[in-house]
Amino acid sequence: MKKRLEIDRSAQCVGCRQCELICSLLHENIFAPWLSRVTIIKNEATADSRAIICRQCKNAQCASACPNQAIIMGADGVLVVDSSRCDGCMECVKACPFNAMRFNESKHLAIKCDLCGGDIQCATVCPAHVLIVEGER
Amino acid sequence: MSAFNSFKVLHVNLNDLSFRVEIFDETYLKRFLGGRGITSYILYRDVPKGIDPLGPENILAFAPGTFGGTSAPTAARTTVTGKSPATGLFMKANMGGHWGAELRYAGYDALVVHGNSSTWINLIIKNDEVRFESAEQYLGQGVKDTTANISKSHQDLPDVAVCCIGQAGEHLVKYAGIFSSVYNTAARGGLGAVMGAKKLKAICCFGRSGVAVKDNIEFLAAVRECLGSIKSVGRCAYYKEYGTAGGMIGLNESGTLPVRNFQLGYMKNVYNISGQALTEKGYLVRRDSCFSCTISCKRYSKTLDEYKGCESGGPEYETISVFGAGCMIDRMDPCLRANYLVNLYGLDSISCGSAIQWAMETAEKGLLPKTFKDPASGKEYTLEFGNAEAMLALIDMIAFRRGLGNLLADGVKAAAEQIGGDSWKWAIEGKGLEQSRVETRVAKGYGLAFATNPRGPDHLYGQPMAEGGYSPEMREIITLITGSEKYAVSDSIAKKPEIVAWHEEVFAITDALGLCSRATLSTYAISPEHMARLYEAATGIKIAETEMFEAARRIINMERFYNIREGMENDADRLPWRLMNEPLRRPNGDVHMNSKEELKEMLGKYYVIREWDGSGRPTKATIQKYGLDDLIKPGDCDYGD
Repeated sequence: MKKRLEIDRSAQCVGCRQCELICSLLHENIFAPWLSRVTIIKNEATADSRAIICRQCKNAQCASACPNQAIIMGADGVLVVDSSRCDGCMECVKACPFNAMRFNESKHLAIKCDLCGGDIQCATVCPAHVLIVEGER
Repeated sequence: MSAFNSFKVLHVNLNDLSFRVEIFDETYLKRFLGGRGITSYILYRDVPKGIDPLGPENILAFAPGTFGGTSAPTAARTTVTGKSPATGLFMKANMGGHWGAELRYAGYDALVVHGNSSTWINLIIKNDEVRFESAEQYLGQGVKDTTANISKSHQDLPDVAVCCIGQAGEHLVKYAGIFSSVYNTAARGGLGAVMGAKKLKAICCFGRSGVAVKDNIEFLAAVRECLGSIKSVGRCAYYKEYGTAGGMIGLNESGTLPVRNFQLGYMKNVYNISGQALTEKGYLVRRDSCFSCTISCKRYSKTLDEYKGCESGGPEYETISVFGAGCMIDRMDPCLRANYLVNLYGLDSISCGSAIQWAMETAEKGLLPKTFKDPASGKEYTLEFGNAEAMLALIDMIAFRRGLGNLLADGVKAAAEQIGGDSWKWAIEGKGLEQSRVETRVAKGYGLAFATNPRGPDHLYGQPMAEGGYSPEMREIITLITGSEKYAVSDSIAKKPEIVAWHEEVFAITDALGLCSRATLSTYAISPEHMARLYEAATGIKIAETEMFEAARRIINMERFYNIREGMENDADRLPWRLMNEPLRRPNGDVHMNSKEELKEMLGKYYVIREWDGSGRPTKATIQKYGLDDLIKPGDCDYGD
């Protein structure tokens, strides 16, 4: 079974951002939470934090919205951004119903969760067990 | 991008609204490790002797620490350094939250604010753009509103990180704090009043350049090792479950909770104001973490039966302990209301609660009137222990310096000097700073650490919690320092100078790297070995554990020198009068005191370990040994013999 990244709604996100940090390091070689594929929305006044992840939709609206067919099925069955085709129009970012598509402003490229090529990393550092890997066996 | 080849400092001058960048080369990173080390040097270098802490010559230096912005667990801490208006001496205060990471993402390793502005302003740092704006519209607003309104009016800066002062800082209360991410406070020593004197309401940071470490794979491996350690240490889980206030019950049971302005060690109904009640009775809304921290000791809580509608970050142990146990309030809701108010107005809860418990005792002993009136409401209150309404009214009056609040806003030392009589004897302060909530008459290592602390009697310079041997990790640490677990005894002075010195050094390393003492001390989850591994992977600078400790001693000497140059008295390394002269009687009949003889013996040994002379002054040989002779100008400081 293919591994899936999921959110356990019964657990409480504490807003530590470890997931964003490991994601940006592994994908962009830099600690930069705004370049992470997983997003933490934190309201500091109420200490309320929640995670936004890519749902890896079967009929993905990000892919349908892309005028350049830059969001393609990768070898491991996960939709990925082909950066050679992406022209940074942000149609995918607008189309995602979960606000999970991210955008690298300096490179002018859409970025998307690729489940780390099957070896999902963000869940391994989540102290609150909000991010969990389903289908691990 | 912050990349560890150097240490980049943004200097801002509010006298003429100018700024410049100063680069310290890589050698300074190794010499001082980063953050607090380099800013303590800058304080010594840039602030002349004898200046008014509220005058334009004082600085406020903000340093996130070498790991700021990375995933090093707990790397959220920013050290704020300046000359304290409470003590007239060296002050570093430290805050968590997100702000420090954002400063590093903007490309700076530290920010130093010089000068005083003539009008109220905000400082905006957006990557390499530095600008000022009028802060008039935010004047009179509390921390929460200031933060929210600044975010609202800067649509070009999504998720801007704000650090600011509340009304207490505007009114130059000598224990106003600097707040970041709403509830994270660089609380101690009145640096919020320094910010107020500078007429600087807020510093807003927005960075998009990121932080790159030298060796990603090794850094991540070191991070995972720390995460694993945090997961396996029982005290980390305890802090997550009950917060720092989880210690109230245990301290009370052992008769070492500072109750009634340090007159007693025990109170009834302490469960009502414990971290356990907070969690179990529904006051706790949710748990929270600082940036990159997986311990999650932070709380967000709400009142339930009285004072409805008070929701706030916290309360921490220190806050609930001083307002609850210190002022004899055994109900949670008034304590939560007090916590809400100090966070709103931007006050240091330890000093604020200490001032109120001092006033309650002073009225009891007849040196202050038994009642006081709030000039704003005209309402009269009875000033006595256990009166929650009086306590809450005084927080308000202190923040705005109204009536009796104006006397208390200068701290207990100044207040006692003004009231006279014996009132100084129950002013629980040292060097002008109110003591934090530790019963040093039982914890002798804490006693020594509080006496030698350049900030005053406070737990956040060298926190020797291991002396109690409460956990396997603590007993291991005591064995590491002294060679035997048998020295893990609070009420003994044996080996305490060694234990305190080690803790002060680890604290200096922790601050310089931007980690949290909750991880490196008090739980002992992140070890010096972990820190050295992270440091090498991040900076590419090879460093042995022993070299980190050497750098820590360099920092401690630098800070000591600052105080000696300021003319700190030779006998300043002491504890509050009450703790050295009035015994604590525990419920089991044991009697404890911080006797002059015990303190003298510990100080003598401690000064030898520090390579200082008999009166606690670093010697010329010490300066040379730690390579400080090119930084400390000949003749500007009185060396030891």
